[in-house]
Amino acid sequence: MRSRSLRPAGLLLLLAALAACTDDRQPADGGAGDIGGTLVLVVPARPGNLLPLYADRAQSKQITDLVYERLAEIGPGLNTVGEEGFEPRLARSWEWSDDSLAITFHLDPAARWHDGTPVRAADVRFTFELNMDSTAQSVDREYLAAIDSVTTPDSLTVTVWAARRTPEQFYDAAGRLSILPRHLLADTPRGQLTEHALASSPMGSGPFRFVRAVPNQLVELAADTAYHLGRPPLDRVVISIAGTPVAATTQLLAGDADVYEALRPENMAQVAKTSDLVARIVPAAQYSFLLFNLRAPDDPQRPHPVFGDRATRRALSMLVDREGLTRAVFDSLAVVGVGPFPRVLPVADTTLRQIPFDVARGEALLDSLGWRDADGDGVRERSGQPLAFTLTVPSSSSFRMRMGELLQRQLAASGVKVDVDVVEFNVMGSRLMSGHFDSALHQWALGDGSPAGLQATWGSVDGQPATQNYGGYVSETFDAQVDSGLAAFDKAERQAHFSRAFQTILDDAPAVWIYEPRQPFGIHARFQHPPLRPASWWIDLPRWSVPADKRIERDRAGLPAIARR
Amino acid sequence: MSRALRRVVQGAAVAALVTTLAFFLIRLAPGDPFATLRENPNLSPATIDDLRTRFGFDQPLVVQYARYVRRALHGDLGISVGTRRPVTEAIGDALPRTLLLMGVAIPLSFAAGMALGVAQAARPRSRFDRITRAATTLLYAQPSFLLAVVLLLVFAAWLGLFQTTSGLGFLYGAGSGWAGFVWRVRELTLPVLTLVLLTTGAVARQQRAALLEVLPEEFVRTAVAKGAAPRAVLLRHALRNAMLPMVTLLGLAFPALLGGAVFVEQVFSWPGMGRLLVDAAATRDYFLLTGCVLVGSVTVVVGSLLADLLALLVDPRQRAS
Repeated sequence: MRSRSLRPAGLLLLLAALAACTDDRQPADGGAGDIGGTLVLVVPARPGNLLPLYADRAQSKQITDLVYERLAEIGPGLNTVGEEGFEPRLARSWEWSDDSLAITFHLDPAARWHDGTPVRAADVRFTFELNMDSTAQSVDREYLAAIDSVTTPDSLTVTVWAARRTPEQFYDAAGRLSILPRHLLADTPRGQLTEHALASSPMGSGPFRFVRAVPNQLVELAADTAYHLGRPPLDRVVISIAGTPVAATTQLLAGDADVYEALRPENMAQVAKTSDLVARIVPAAQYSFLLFNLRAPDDPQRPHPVFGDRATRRALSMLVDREGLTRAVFDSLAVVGVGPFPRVLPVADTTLRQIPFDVARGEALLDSLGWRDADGDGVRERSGQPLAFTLTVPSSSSFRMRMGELLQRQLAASGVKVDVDVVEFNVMGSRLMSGHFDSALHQWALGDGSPAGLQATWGSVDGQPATQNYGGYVSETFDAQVDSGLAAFDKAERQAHFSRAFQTILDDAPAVWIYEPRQPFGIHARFQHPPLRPASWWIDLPRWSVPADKRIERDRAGLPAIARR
Repeated sequence: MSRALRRVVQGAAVAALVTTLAFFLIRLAPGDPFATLRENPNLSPATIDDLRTRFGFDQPLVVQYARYVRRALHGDLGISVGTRRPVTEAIGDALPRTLLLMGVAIPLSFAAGMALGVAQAARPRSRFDRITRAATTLLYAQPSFLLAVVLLLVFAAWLGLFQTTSGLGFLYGAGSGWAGFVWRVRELTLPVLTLVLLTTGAVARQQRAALLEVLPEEFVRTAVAKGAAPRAVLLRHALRNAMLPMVTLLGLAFPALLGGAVFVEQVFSWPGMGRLLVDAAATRDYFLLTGCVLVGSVTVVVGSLLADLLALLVDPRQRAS
């Protein structure tokens, strides 16, 4: 008797649970002409905090960059020097002071926060003050070191004063910070902003409004029909959060998603076979390298027994067939690296003198340095020290794991023993930071076209490697040229300094610059869109559209009620 | 009553112990929650140190633990480093979805497994028995991740019968009402099917073995001698006495299915506890991971307690003792 009465109750509970997981909003019809359409972007990881102050991962920025706006947006060329290429956003126009220490921005009076409140100069000043306040712990604070203060001559005018003139002064003032709504954030203690409601439900003045987020499942954005620069053609952008890269790829191939930006080489053929999809390959703002630790792992004050010697590093570099490795692992989805920069960096130089792949010369150089296989065990040694090292690779990257195996084989043929140590991404980071590694397959990704990160990743301060210079490379020449390049206003002069810096580090061989990945996108063929940028491609989503005659069922879902208000 | 209280206290102790172990082990493991931030070449270590201080990670482990326990006793499981959301909120979002998955998968797998076990025991060593045992053993031996990927590829990607992800029904006019319900059922089908296929084999084997042990007993022979129909003998007399191992297995099914859900949720992009846990472990999101372990252990303990209660209901001998 008891069990009979439980059955319907259990069923009701199940129905209630299912109903609780559903959405109760009704869709509207799609728009006419180029207006209308839904884009489902699948990502293989969840976004983090959605307050721009703390948006430190790409998945977060994909949302905050659409919901919020900057004063001006960096152009597709990624130039960060001067104002060339920058496009107006919240600021309609700007002018420089005579001494170039101040830039005055004139805000668009039509700009509105998504709750209808006008965007005013006080919001801009508040944003700068907030980001510069150490208690707020903004991830952008480091960029604002050259900003002195922000004043507001009137409600639509903002002047950003610089402490000193720098080539990236305009970028720092206009292109770094997403402007935040003062009326929603000012009353919250700055130490508690991370938990503010906007951290999960952002509200900005950008082309798309935040509609809702289902944690670990999706984020829904809708076109802001009152956007001051004109409403974006797409009605909605839905960011679908997949559990794994395999799940994300499957979602794209099955037609449940429209864009996936991290296809693997083996998926390209499947995309080509799917008539609804097109593949787009974009140069990525990343470069990957075999990093040598120049310091002994157990005693950073001593040089590494193998990599401490410049000539040995150069000889080892000659033994690495970068072209072969890149082709074997990536086919055409990567190009051979040419230095500590991706080619899309505005100061990149592809004409530099490279250490050639020349096995005979490399082996002869090792012989001359005393690295010989005297005992016939297949491994060279010098003064009892075998020419052997451990190569740390992250398990999160199957590409780098494969590359590690191939490198092991290539070097073994010349009497160099490599033990490949595959570790979790987090563990690898820990080893790099502590210096407890011999070598590693590492990668740096750039968020923009600024070369400022070179100081932290390859530079030194007072003879000590900078914070992210994990290999411990120290060169006064390199540092001086990078510093001069960063300070140079003249384009040719800037390029010359960076080229000299790059040639110096190439000659010193603290790493082997193996490859630059190219970013393979799978995109539904119905979309019309501008060329994809190498970094932050989503910035241009407000210009994507779907012609009326190509729409599919989900394009007709229309604007959600929140966006039609 | 005292026995039930004792089991509750034991369960609470187990949950506390498991959470304590998780708290220390994750912090002793290499890496930290700010590894991603360190990949940003423009971010200074000073900013990251500020964050460490803010989250209290600069304090000795024992101090961190004491603070955690104090807050946890007040219902505060800390803030997720990755999302900066309260851990209780993140778990509050994910837990119902995993419970829904398990709430459907457990009854279905037990119903299917028990039915299959009974059918096998009714005709032991028959062709049906041999074939179905081989098939369920094969399924049982599959890694859950592999089975989930195969089902996803075949039924969602190739045949297009089900969705490859969840939550997008609102784009197809299936956000609410009956259409929404049907959409939700379709979303649930493949994850549930994976869990059911993985579990049914074990249930069927246990049920078959339990029945074969009971069938030769005197009370069964008595029922047969009294002229009861074979079906009635099997279902009413033998099965009732072969239920106890099933109840024990039900208690074990909670941790097994919770573990299976980790992979299943990853493959089918189901936003439950499994995905939260994997993400927290990969990013060293200390508070989130510890919170997930705490909730997981409580779920297992509750499942075990429920199994104990069921055993009392099913077995009069246990009530008497």
